[in-house]
Amino acid sequence: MSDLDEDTAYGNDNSPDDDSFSRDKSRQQERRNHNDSEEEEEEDDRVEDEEDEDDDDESPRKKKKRRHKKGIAERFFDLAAVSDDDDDGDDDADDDGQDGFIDDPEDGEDASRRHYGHLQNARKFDDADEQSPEQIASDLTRRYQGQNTVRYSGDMNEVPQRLLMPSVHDASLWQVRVKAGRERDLVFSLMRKALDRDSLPGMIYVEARSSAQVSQACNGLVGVYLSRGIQLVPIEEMASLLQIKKQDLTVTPGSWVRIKRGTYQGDLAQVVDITETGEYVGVKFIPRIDLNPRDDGSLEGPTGKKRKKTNLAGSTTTRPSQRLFNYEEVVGRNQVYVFQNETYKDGTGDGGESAVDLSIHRRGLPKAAISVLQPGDHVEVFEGEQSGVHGVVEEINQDVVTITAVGVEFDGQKVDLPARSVRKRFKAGDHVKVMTGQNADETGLVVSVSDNVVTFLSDMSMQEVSVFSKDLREAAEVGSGTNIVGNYELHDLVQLDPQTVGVIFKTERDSFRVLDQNTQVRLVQPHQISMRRESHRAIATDSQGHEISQARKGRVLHIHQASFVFLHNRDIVENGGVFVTRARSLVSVAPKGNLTKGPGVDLSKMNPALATPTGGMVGSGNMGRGPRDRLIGVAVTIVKGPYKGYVGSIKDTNGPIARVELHTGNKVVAVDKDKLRRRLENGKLVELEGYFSRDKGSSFSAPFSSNQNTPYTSAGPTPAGVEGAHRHGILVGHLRGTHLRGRPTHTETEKRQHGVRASKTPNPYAAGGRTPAWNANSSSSPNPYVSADSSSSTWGGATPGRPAWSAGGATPARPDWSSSPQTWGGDTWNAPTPAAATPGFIAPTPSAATPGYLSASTPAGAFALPGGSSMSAPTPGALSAPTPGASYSSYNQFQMPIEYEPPEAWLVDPAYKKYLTRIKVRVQGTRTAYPQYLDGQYEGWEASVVAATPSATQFEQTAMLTFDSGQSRPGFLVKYLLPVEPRFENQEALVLDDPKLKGMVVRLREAADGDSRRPVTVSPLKSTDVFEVMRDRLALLRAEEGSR
Amino acid sequence: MFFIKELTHTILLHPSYFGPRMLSFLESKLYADVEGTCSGQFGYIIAVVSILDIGKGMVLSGSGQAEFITRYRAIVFKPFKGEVVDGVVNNVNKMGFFADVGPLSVFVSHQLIHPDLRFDSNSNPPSFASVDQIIEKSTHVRLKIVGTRVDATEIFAIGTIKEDHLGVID
Amino acid sequence: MSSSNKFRHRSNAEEEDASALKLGAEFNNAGCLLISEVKYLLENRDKDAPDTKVYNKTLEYVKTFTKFSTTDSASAVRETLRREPALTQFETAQIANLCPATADEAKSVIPSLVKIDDDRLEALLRDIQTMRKFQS
Repeated sequence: MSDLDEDTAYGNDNSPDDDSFSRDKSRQQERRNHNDSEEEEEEDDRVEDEEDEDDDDESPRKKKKRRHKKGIAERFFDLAAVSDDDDDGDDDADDDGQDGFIDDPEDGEDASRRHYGHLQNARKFDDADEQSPEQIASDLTRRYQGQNTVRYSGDMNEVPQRLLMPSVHDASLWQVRVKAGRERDLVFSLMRKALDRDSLPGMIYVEARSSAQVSQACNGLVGVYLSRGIQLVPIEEMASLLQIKKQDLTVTPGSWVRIKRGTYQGDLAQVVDITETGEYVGVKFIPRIDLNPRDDGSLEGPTGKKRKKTNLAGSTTTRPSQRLFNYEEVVGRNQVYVFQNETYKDGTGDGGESAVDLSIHRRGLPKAAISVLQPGDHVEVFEGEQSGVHGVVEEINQDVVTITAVGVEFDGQKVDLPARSVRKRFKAGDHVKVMTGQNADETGLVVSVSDNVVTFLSDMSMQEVSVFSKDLREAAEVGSGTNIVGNYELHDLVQLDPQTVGVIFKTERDSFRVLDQNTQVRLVQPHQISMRRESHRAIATDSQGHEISQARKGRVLHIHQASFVFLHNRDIVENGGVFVTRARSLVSVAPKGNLTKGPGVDLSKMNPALATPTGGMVGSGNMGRGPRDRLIGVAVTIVKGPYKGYVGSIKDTNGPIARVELHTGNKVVAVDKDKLRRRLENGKLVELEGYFSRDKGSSFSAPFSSNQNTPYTSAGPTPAGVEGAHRHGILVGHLRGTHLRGRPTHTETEKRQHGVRASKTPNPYAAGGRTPAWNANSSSSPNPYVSADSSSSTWGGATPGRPAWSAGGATPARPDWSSSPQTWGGDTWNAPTPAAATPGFIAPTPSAATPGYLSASTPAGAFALPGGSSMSAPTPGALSAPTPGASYSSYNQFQMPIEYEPPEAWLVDPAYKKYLTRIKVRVQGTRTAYPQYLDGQYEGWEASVVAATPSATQFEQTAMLTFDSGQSRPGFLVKYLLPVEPRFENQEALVLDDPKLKGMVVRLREAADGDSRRPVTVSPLKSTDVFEVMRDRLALLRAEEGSR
Repeated sequence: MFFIKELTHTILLHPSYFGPRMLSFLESKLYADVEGTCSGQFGYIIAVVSILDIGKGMVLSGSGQAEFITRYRAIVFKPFKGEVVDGVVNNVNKMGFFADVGPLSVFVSHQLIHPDLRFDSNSNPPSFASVDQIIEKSTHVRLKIVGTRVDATEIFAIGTIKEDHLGVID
Repeated sequence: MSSSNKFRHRSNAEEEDASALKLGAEFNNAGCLLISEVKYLLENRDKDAPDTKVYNKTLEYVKTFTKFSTTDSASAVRETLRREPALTQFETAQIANLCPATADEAKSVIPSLVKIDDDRLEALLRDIQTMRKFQS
C-alpha cells in the first residue's frame, strides 16, 4: 500500500466486479456469516485480500469472500478482530473504513435505506454490552434472515474508478470531535458507518445522510463532543481523507536515521552499510559510553584500563552523555575497537542495529538534490558508471531523471540516471538564483565554479557569494523574491528624514531602493528609515480637468503632504514602475461622471485633521516643519505587559510600536501601541488612536486669547455638528485675540502653532461627514499671510468668508472662485457676512451647524469692520482682496487651482521697493468697481511704475504710472493694479510671494504655458539654483535700462 | 558587437498632432523614443541611422489615436557570451574591476583575473598589479564576456581576462 | 515576484555563444559593424546627437578603440576580409575590431576561426596590420 493511489485504493475497496445491489446483498450475507462467528474464515479472507486484487478469474466463492472483506458489516468484524488480536494492522481497519464509505454513485436510495439499517445497528450495538453474546447472535441472525436471496450476479470489472468516487448522492461524511485517544474505542462503540483515522487525533468520521443522524448515532457516547460540532466533509475531500499513505521506508547508505530502541534511543545516526538481507544496517553515531561504570561485575575492557559500559545495568543509571569516543582513553586493537559487543571506529559508534529499530530521520543531500531538479536544468553525473557525463534534464520520474547527454561520446543520447547521482552544473557566466539557504533569492552571474561550490556576483550587492550548486537554479529574473525586509514592504511610504519621504520601489537583500519626493533614488538600509508612514487617509486634489503634463498613468500608492503623489505603473521600467509627481499635475482617470456626481471627493476625508500622520501636512507643508506623529508627546499609561501600570509619554512611534518614556526611572521602552492608553488630564484612560488630542489642542491654543479655550474644551462631549459650530467660534476668537493684542506680525513659531493647532484640532466633522477640509485650514492659512504685511486684519477678516464657501462643498464652489478674479474685485462681497455663504454651509451639516456658523461668523464680521484699522477703506475691494488670498493659502496646501491675487497694496510692499520702477502692471477692476474708476478708461492697459510710495494707512495707496502707450498718470490707485505675469524664457520677474524668494528678482528658466497656476522654474539672478514658483506669484520686470 | 539592424517601433499619436508637421513630429518622437534604450532582445539601440518607413497611421477606434508602425535602421550594440571585446577600466576594487565597453559595463571578478595580478590595496588609484602589468582606472583591457544579465534598462556582463591573449592592451 | 512563471529556463531557446557563432535568432544574420564604421556613422549623423548616456559612452568608446581612422581604410579592410569566404559577418568584424597579430591569437580570441587554415589567416592578418600601419 505504500504507493497507494486512488485507483488501487478503490480497487481494493470495491471489488471491481460488484454492482451495488449485489454488493449490498452480499455484504449482508457476509454479515450473517460473520455473525456466525466464522473467525477462521475471516482470517483467511484477510490473507487473500492481501493478494492481488485484479485477479478476476477466481471462483465466485473467492470473489465473494473478497467482497466480504470489503463488506460494510465486516468492519465490525475487523474491529472485533482488532479487539481480539492487537497485532492486526491498523491498515486493515482503514481499508475497511474506506470500503464502507465509498459507495457507487448510483445506489443512493439503496444507501439511504442501508444507512438506516446501520444506524439501527449502531444503536443496537450500543446496547450490546448489556446483552449476552447469544442474544446478539440471535438478533443478528434474525435481522439478516432472508436477505441473502440475491447473490453475486455480474461482472463489473470495467467500472471506471472515477465512478466510484463519492458524489452528492452518497451519504455524506461527517467529522465528529471526540476525546483524543478514544477514537478507536468510540468507533468501536459506534460500530457501524463510522470510521476513524489513526492519524487524526480527536476526530472520527461518520458516514451518514444528515448531521442529525450522526448526532443521533453518537448520542450518549462518552467522549464524543457533539457540542463541538459535526462538520461535513466536502465531497472532494472524502476520497483523499481516506487514502492511506504509508511511507515505504527503505534504509539506504547515507540516510539519516533515528534509533528507536536501546541505549541510543532517539539518537541520530547515519547509515553506513546494510547487510544483504536488509535485516541489519551499520550506522554511525556518537556513542554514549559510560567510562566510569559502576562495578557490577562486568568484565574489564580489552586493555584493562577502562571499564566497559554496561548497558544492562544502565536501567538504574542515567544515560551517559554523547561524546566522541577517544581512543586514547580506551586503547583498542586494529582500526576497530570492540567494546562490549559494540564496535567503535574513528571515534563514532559503529553499531549493528536491527533495521526495524531504525526510523529514517531524513535523507541527506541526494534527496535534496532531487527535490530541486527541474527539467531543463544542466546537470552532471558525479558518481556511478556515467560519472562525468553532463546534460540537460529531460524529465524527472521520482528518483530517476532522464537527461539528454551533452558531450563527445553521448551527445544527444537520453540517459536514465538515479537522481541522487547527478548534481546541477553551472559554468561561469550563468545567471543563477539561490533557492534555499541563507542567501535565498539572491541572484547573480556565476563567476567561478569549484566542485559543488559556485561563486557568483550578486546582482544586487555586487558582492561575491559562494553557495552550493544544489541550492542554485538558473534563472533569468533579477532581484530578490521577497518584498519584505525588516518591517518594511515594497511600496511602503517611509520617512527618510524630517523633510523627505519616499516610496520603496525595490527591496534588496537588506536594503531598499527608495524613490523620494524629489524624484531622487536612494539606497537605504532599514535602520535609516525613521518610520513607515500611513497615507490611506491623505488626500490631494488633482488638477480638476486641467491638461496633464505627465502623460503617464499610474495607480496612486501614497500621497504625501497633499502635494506629492507616488504612483505605480507596471509598464514603466525605471524605478520598478514607481514615480513621483505633484498632485496638481494629475488628473483622475476615473470617468468624469463619477467626479461630478456627489461631492467629488469625500470632504470628510479631505480634512487634514483626520489625515492622521500626514495630518501634519497643514502645518508642515507650509511651515517647513517635518511632519510628526501626532501621538508623540501624548501622555499614556501602559495597560498590558511587563510595564503595566506605568505612566509615561510617547517619544516616538514606528508602525505599531511606540517608544514610551516612563515617568519613573526616566527610561524609554518600546511598547505596542495597543498596550497603551491615552491618559487624560483627569486621569481617565481612553483609547490611544481613536482620541484626537483634544488636550493637546487646548494646550496649543493657550498662547492665544483665553476665550477660545472655553468653548473649545467644553465642545468635547457635544455632538459633532455643534462642536463644529464651536470651532468656528474658536477660530474667530483666536484671530480676534491676536488682533486685539495688536501684534503686527506673528512670529514664525506662532505660525507653526497655528498650523499645528489646525491639524491637531479634533475634527468635529468626523461624524458629520462631508465637512470641508478647508475649515481646519482656515484657521491656519490666513496666518502666514498675517505676518506678510500690514493688511493682517483684512486677512483675518477673511476667515468667516472662508467657511462659507468651503462649507458649500469644495467642488461646486471652486469653479466660481477660479473663474475670474474680476468677480472678486467687484462688490459682490459688500456684506461682511455674505448671505450666499450661509446656505452653502447649511448643506453639509444641516441642523446643528447653522447656528454655530452664524455665531461664529457674526463676530468675525463685526470684527472686520471696527478692527480693520489697516484697511484703507471698508470698500468692497477690501473684502475682495482677502478672499482669493485665503484661497491661495489653501492652494498652497492642497494645490488648488485657484489663482493667487496679490494683496491690495502689494505695489507698495517694502520688499519690492528696490525693483519698483521696473515692475510691469496691468490695470484691472476699474470697470467693475462702482462707480467706475476713471470711467474704466484704462482697464487692461499695461504700464510701468514710475513711483509709488506708501501713504498713511488711512489713505488709498497710489502710484505714478507710465502706460505703454506713452501716457503718464500720477496718483493711480494701486488697488486697481495687478502684476503682469512673465511669459517667456529669460524674462526677469519679481517674486511677489514665496517663503524664500519673496522680493527677489528671478529669471525664468522656461517659457510658461497657458495656465498661470502652474509652477515655473526660475533661477535667482547670478545664481544657478533652480526653484519652482507659481507664475501668478511673479511680476514681470521691465528689462533693465542698461541692458536695453 | 555593433550591428546595423532594421527595427520597428510603434508610435501612438494623439489626434491633436495630425497635421502638416506630423511627419517631423513622428520622426523626432522615434528618435526620442528609441535612441539610448536597451532591451534584452536587441541590446542597446545607440542611434537611428535612417528611417525606412514611417508607417501608415491607423486610427484606433475608441481613442482616436493613430498608430504608426515605424521601420527604421539603427546601430545596436549587443554583447554576447564568448565575445572578446576591448574596454576601458572604470573602477577597481578588491572584488575585481569594472570595464566600460561602450554602453555596457562588464565586471571582471578577481577570480577571473590571472593570479599574478594581485589587488594592490595601497595603490592610488586602486589597482591590480603584477610585476609587469597594472590594471587601474582607464587602463585598456581586452576581455572575454562570459555571461550577461539583461535588465529592463541595461545589460550587465561579467568577463574574464584569465585566458590567453586577454588582459591589458596598449 | 515568486511566481513560478518567472523561472524562464533558457534551455529551450538557443543559448547564445559567440565563440560558436550562436548569436540568437535576431543576430545570426545581422550586419555587423566595425568600431571604425560606428564611429563614422555617429560622427556623420545629420541629426543632432541625442544626449543619452548610451550614445555618449558609445561615442567615447568608438573613438578610443577605432582601429581605422578613415572610411577608406575601413572599407579596404572589409574588402580584404571578403577574400576569405568562410568568414562570417561576426568574425569579420571581430578580426577588424581586435586586429589580432597572429593566427594563434586570432583563434584564441575568436574561437570559431579554427575552420580557417593558419597560413591563410596569417596572411589576412598581416594585410590588415599593414593597412592599419599605413592608413593616412
